[in-house]
Amino acid sequence: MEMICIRCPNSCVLKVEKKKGKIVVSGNLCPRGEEYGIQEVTDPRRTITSVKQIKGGTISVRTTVAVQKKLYFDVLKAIKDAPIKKTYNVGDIIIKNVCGTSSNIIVTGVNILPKNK
Amino acid sequence: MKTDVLVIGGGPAGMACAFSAAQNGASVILVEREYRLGGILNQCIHNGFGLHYFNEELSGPEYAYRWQQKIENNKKIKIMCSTYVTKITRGVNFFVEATNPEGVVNIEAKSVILAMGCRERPAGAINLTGTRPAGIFTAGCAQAIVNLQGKMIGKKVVILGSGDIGLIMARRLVCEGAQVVGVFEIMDKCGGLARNYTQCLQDFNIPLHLSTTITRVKGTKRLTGVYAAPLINGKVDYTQEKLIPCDTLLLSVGLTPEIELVSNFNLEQYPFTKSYAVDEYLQTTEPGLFLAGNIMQVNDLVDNVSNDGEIAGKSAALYAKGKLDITQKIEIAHDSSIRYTIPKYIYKNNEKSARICFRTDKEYRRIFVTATSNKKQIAKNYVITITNGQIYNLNLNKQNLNKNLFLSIEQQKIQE
Amino acid sequence: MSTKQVKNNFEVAIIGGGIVGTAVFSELCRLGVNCVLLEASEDVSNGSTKANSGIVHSGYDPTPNSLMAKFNILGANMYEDMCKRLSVTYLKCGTLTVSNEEGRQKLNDLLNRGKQNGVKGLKIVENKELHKLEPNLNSDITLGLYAPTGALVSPYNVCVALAEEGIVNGGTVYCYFNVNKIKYQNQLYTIYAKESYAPTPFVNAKYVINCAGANAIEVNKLLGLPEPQNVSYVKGEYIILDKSLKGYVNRPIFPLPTAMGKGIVSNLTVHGNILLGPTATPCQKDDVSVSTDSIAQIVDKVCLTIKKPNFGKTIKLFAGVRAKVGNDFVIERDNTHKNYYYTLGICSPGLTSAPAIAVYIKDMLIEDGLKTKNITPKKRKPYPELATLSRQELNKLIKANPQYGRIICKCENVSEGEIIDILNSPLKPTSIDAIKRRVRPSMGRCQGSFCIPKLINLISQYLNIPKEKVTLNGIGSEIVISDIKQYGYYARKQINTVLKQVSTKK
Repeated sequence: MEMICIRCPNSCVLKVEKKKGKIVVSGNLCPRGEEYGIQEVTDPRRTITSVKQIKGGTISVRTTVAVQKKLYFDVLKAIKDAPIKKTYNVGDIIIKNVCGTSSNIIVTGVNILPKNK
Repeated sequence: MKTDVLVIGGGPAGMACAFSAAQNGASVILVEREYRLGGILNQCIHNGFGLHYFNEELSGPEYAYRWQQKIENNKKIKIMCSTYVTKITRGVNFFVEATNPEGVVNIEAKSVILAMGCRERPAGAINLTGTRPAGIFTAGCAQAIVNLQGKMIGKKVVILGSGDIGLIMARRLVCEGAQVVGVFEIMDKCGGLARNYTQCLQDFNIPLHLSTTITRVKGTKRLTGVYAAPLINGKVDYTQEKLIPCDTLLLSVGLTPEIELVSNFNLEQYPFTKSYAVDEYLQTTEPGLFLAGNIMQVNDLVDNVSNDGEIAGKSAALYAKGKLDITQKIEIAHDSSIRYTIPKYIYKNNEKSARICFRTDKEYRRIFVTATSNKKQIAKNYVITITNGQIYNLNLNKQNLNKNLFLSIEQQKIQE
Repeated sequence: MSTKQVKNNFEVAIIGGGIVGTAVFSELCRLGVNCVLLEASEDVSNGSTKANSGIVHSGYDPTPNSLMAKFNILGANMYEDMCKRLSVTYLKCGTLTVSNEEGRQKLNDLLNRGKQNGVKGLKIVENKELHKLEPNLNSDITLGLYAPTGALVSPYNVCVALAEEGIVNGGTVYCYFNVNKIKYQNQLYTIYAKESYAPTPFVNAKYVINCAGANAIEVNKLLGLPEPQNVSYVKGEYIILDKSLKGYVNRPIFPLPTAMGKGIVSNLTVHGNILLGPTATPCQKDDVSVSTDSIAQIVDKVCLTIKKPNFGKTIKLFAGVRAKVGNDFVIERDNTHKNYYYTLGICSPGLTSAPAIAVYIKDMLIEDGLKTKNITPKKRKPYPELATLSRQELNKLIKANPQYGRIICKCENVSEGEIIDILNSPLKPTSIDAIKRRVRPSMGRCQGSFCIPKLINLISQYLNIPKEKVTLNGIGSEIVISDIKQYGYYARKQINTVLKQVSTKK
């Protein structure tokens, strides 16, 4: 199958084929392309970013490492269901090992409008 | 209030400007109209920021946070949030009028950097006809509502324009529970980065309709549908117009630099960027008035924007000290494969190098970017790919620069 | 609603909060009449009034001795004083009707017709003098009929101010009162509202004035009045360009009028935007859509008069519908229902004529026995417009209230304080469009992409309503629908993934 490598802006068009039980990547300009191609057909992963509503605003969050793509919506639901704390700071872990992965969910931004006089 | 350098806009460009101007010994005032720094980065919760600067894949808010920490406790930088500049005039120095909740503010600055970014083109700007119901948003507006307020804007969404914000919002809305019916693009290829096409549309089975546009909208109070039609030989074929029921339309149809604040200055315009022409210091044709970031040209990578800020910040600091070297101005010429260059002008002076960025007319692979001065080649860089729309950065060694400069692109001769 | 008891009994009920309805309302309220204005939508000025060129016509166009001619001249003479009284902008810029040499005879005819109608100061200007007035006219445009008494106003600002003036003088305005039944019994009218969310289900009144604009015939039908002949609905479409083109034209520039109307005007707004239009497209009564063909038509027609402006600076397209009944206004008292009055076919020059029509209607009511009081009318309190203040005045204002220093709309430079003033103003508008018409947030070049999220916040916070209830232009036009993560797979028990499965098959 064909796919576009997303590792850098070069956007190589990769051809990933199974030949004699081995995965062969072609069309890549660098080794990262091969790595991506194999990963993508064997165990595709994504960094997931999302938003959680908190009192008076939202926090933005992400996974610390890429997680298996098939867990995408389980992770989003876990973010929704995570208990709401009193305060949040950038970098706080709100879920450890989300959905059994080795990734944590961390706070990337806090959006609470200041109370105006 | 008096300062060496005034930076207007506290997004990625402005923060880098302030940082760099202070590093170069200037006193700095940074004004930001929002209650906090970060600009649009605060709502760009997706990852992919900071690969160059921090060697990490950060989200927008984190990238902003890192820069904020770099400038927040710097004694040379005074940060004024919730402050909105209304007018800039000039005598010897610049006089800037602003307002904030404490009152009116008057600032006198030796140099000024504009870092106010850009705005999105609204529905009217693309002659979107039909009715004017609720449910039509620019992609960035939708992004602010969904990401900063945690509110949903609709259940069934059509997106017009495949720019990066459009693609990213397609994924965001699906991940928040909406159905994205499709992304419609008037051009024959995706406008955004290939990686965004893959991660945002392909991953979620969102169809991308190329050479197709939205012609008009339907609905009295709230949007009930949009009409889509294909383009045949560059013209909309209205006979094939088709109604697509939806309650929300997102527009990702281009960005316009926010240049109106300085329309009272007689600056040289630069039609390619819908902004003003600048020299290698990112200085406009008004001495001491600089641009940085998306107000100068719309970027696709935030790292470029920060880089602008570093250049403009340093230059503004030098200008404030009277040390900006502007000997022998040269207008950069180029072949037709290069659409435009930033800067437009460079100097044959004592600066060792200059950053030149440009965009090409189409995608190029395996090429040489060459610079010629007075018929002598002074640079030749091998480049694997320049995609259409991507900005290419050339760091030009100026030691052999002579009276003129010509940039061109040569295809690599493949030896069999 | 406020805690005040809802009032149901009135002397006079006016149906329709457009420019005519609000002018009548203010006229009667200032005479101490117990008066209610019933408006179907969420705000006054929401029909043809808001989608109008804003021109106070000098009056050389209407056929002599018509009602249009009469009220146009009378109205135009009242406008400047009225705007002063209401504290709204009146831009005394004059108007021009232009042509090439071929149109000389027709322009002269217009000049004479104008004189016959009693228009003052009309004159033909030619060549250099003309081009000095309007430097962007095409070079073949050599003749112009200059009417110094023509002027510009913001039609919705005038309309809102009239409604507010009525309220400060004791009148009542019910928005969301969409009239769908009128009962006439014992010389008393009971008017019923269609929507359950109307502020009251009905009102009673002795006098009823139908000023419902494009819907006036429908309202008449509620009392069984026949539909007049020669009714048509005409849509006027407009293009509005960014303020950065301010000065491209300095006054409304008309081409020579045709049978279809006054033609497409190269115009401006009192706030400095360039306004091009209207078209005159036959349409259905409630069709305010803009068509691609019409936009092309405006561009073509405008370029016959002026050098092509930068259409890249277009910020909005819009349209309004005007009803036409024959060739003149219809302003009548009904013979079959005592104390029922109606206005039909108030198309152009309706905006100009409105104050005169109001006086005329008031006189009819007094003739028919309406009692008025000799009171000293109160003035409406204008909201502070920060853009017009000096730095010192602005500073003083911000020191007293920091909200005036917090900018919400950066294109039009509108502060939080100004928006809160509007939320507190007599009509208590709540929709984003209503606020926009009053103090201009989201009216500018970004059309609200920066400030609409902030306006939603502000309105929700200040009125203490959920964000889901904040509307663009009334119930049904809500902008946000719910919290995030509520629909789709979040609502399902099983996570039904929409993710594409990657496979090496194929």
